[in-house]
Amino acid sequence: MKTISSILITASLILGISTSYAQEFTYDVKQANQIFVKNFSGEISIEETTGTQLIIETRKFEKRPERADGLRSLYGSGAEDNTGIGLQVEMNGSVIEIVGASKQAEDAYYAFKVPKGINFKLDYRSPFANDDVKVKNFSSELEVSILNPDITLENVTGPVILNLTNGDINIDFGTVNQNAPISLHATNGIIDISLPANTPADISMSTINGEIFTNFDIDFDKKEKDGLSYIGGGQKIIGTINGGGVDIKLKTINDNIYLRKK
Amino acid sequence: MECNNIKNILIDFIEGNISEDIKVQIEEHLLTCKNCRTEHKQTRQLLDDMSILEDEVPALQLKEDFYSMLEEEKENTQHNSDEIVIHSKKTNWSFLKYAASVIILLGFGFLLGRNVQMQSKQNSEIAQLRSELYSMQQSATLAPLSQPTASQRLKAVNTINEQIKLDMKTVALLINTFKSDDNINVRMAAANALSKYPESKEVRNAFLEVLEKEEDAAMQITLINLLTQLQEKRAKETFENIINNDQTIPVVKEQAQEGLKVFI
Repeated sequence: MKTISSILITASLILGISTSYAQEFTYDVKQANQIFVKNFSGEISIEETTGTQLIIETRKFEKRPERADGLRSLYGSGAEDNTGIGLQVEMNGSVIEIVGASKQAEDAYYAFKVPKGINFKLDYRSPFANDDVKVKNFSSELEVSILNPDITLENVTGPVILNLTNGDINIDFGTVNQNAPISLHATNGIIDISLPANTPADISMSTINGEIFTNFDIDFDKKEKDGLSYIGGGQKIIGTINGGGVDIKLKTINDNIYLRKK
Repeated sequence: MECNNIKNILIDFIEGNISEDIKVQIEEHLLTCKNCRTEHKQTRQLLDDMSILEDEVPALQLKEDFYSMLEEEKENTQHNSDEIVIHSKKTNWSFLKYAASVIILLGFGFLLGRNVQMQSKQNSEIAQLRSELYSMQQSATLAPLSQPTASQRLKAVNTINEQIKLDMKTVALLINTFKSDDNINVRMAAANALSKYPESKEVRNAFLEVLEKEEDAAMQITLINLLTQLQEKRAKETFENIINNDQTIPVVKEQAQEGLKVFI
């Protein structure tokens, strides 16, 4: 019985791999210092690699039909698939610009493996972008704007600049980079972040219709009249943790803020 | 301890005119805060430079020159007077006294002049140093406003926000960032920094102008709050437009309504 089941599992694995159409596109980042993904609505995950090449993996991506040999593929936005995986990749100055360039790319899954030191900027404000964005082990700058879905960041150092309209922000920080600020806005979503207990930071948190929760000891700056207190309710908390350090700004309008110590 | 407080007492800290426990607090803070470390370093550098200039005294060489010059003159006079003695036995020796005192006076005046000149040179050098430091700080904070990454621009706006007083050029650049930066977080930080200049007509105009076209809810709310706090009457019409616009999300409408109450 055991052997039969193991044979079955092996067989299904082999079958699974052969039918998943996994494809990979690699790009030499050369002098680039930023990747900018825009006009894009597929599912996306981002992770740092030790290599020097940008690797984009996709699953279940169907190849061009043979009939199309010798023809260019056209896409509504004017972008041209030059990767074979439905994306257009172009170097613009020191920025690698990537846009969706095929019908299939609108719903496909893309895993970005980004060399260390390359910043990542994602414009995910398309109303057709519905999948949550996932980032893991990332130490360069992340700049993301999202209309609908959530974003989850795991083991990132900052700088992180996020602006979400309807989704939630979940971040589990590694050691926080003290050199550049962290700024998170979520209009209708929650902000839930965990920081290492010894992180020195200047913290500013504000919400209008939500609550703020934390287990950090915050030194409140009572004299600070720098910002604004909301008219007609809402609250703003300004203070420091562990003696002050990098600027961390958390701002929501309609939901709660959770600042956790780990 | 807050960065702003530390900046105020940094000079006392460097010169040691400060109690032991505050000193310890500052030292601890400097360990964790890079901005204050930089500020501390720059201030110390400036003070060092200034103290070097203040301690400058007329060089020893100058004194020696003066005395050797005096001796030379004396000798010359002696020589001349010897001649005079040879040619005329009726020479009035008191002439020498006058000559010596004239020379001493001249020399003294010369030294004094040098000193005064040096003093004014010192002052102008200090002023120049100050202005150099100021322009260095300005360019150091302004240049990153055009950086490619949002976090660098945000950092620049935050740095500007920490400065006590801004010149018109900086305010204009901030307004530009507030209006046209690519990143909404950076624009919002610029708006908050600008709110420190409620007396500026340009700032108020920029707030009004942007709010009329703004579509981002968080930005709309920030501006509604700022304009209400500034008691900007002209905002009333814009608030009404926002309330009557079907695209506006409810929480923004609520804020605009609260704002209107303040004007009535």
